[in-house]
Amino acid sequence: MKTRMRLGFLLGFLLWSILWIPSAGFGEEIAVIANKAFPADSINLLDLVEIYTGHYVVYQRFKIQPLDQSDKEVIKRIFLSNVMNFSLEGYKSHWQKWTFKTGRQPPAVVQDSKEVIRDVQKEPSGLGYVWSQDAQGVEGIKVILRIPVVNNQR
Amino acid sequence: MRQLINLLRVAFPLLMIVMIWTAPCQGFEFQGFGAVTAQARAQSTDSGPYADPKLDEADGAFSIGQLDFFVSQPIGDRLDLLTEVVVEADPSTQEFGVDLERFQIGYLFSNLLTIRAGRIHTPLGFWNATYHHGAHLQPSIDRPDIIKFEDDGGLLPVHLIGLSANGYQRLGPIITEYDLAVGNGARVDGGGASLDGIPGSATLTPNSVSDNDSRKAVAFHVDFRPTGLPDAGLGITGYLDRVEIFDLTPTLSDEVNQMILGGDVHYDHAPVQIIGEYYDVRDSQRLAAPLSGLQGTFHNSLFFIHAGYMLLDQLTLYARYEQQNVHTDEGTRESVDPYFNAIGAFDRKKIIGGLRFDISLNSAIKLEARHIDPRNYDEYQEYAAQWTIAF
Repeated sequence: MKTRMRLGFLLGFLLWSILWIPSAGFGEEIAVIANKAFPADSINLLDLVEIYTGHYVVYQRFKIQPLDQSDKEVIKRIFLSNVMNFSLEGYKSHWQKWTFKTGRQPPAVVQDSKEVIRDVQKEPSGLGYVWSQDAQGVEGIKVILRIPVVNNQR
Repeated sequence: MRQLINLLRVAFPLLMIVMIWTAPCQGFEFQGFGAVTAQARAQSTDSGPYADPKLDEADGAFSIGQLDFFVSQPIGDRLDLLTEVVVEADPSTQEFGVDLERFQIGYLFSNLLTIRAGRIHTPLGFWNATYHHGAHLQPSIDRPDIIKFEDDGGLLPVHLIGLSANGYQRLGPIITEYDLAVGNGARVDGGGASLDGIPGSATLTPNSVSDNDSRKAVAFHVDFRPTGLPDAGLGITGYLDRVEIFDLTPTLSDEVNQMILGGDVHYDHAPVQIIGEYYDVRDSQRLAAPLSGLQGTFHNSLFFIHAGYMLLDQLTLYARYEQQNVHTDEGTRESVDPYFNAIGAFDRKKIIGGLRFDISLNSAIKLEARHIDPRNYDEYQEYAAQWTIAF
């Protein structure tokens, strides 16, 4: 009887682990990707924040074309809160003011990670963010920064 | 003929806007801002001998603010264009007019250098180069008095026509952004010493289509932000120009070498917003004053501090203190500085308390109570409400 209980507990734990651990985000990370032609193999987090706030527009004579994901994508909210330290509304408000001040345009918004990858493959100055696993083994792009996700709500 | 010119002045920008809007393949980024304001004073001091000569005419009235049409467009990889056209009413004539407030052609060389040519907002402090004409984006109903627009009774030259260079550089733990501009200096029209004890009612003019002297105005602003706290900044600013003051004839009545030095602090990340700016305006008179025969250098200090706190997602409480010290003469109630005398500025304090309710990202309602203390004149209160929209 005791052995059955132990076995049941063990199976229950395994089942809970399988269902819960991925949703908790262990091993999840956001990959910042760029076209193969991008002049650097890595950028730092501060560069990335300044690119997505519109301050940093040229990288080694390369005019950067950052891509953003649509508002309904979970990765966008995680990217904004974990990386940019913005709420979705706060980020939009920032760009409303920044465009009015400088005339610069916010990152082009595409539908999802697939479209980000496709556009970055096509555009030599393209740069975007996707889930790390989506970028694995994809031709024509390179991962220039990996950002671990602390509290993934995926 | 005059009617035709007026018609063209209105029709041409509107035609341009329609063309831009309907252009099939350019994909212009077209935006606009509008506002309706209601304002009342707690006590009417219009007819009294100690009434503030700078009283806003809108008492117990609705007014349509600036209707602002804004276009920004990258042209190719490095070129860009920015225009801001404003339709606004002149309170004295009750007629609408069209002003080209900003027009800039820019070329991006690198993060360190973007060159722009056209009509820009003078790089003076933080507010002037950040909020421009769209009332929706600025935290309060009005700009602080000291940096109001020239045609709205402003004290400083907030527009400049010429060239500007700006850029961005990270130096260790500090992000540095600079803005340097050179262009037509300002002039004062309709000024000169008044004979009846009433401060001047002249306006500052940015010399949009020509310059009345060959000397150019130079302005700069450098902003420092720590990389660890990029929403906080500390700025220094300066402006150098020779300002000529013309009377109504118009004859040159005075001339000053003007040097403005200032500093600003700003922090803007929800829920906190803080903006503080200080200016030291030094006017060296070049011609002897017609009445007093005096000549000298006059120091004036202008400052404001604005603080806001977002209580809820859409509700922000804010307060502002403004002060201008322009050496108002006790007897004549006028400034002894010929520049401030001409534009009718005098010592003044203002306290504002307000509430901003953001209906959405594109619309807000602002409510304000103001206490105005114009030294040598009666104190009074104002109440105002404004509904803004961005489209």
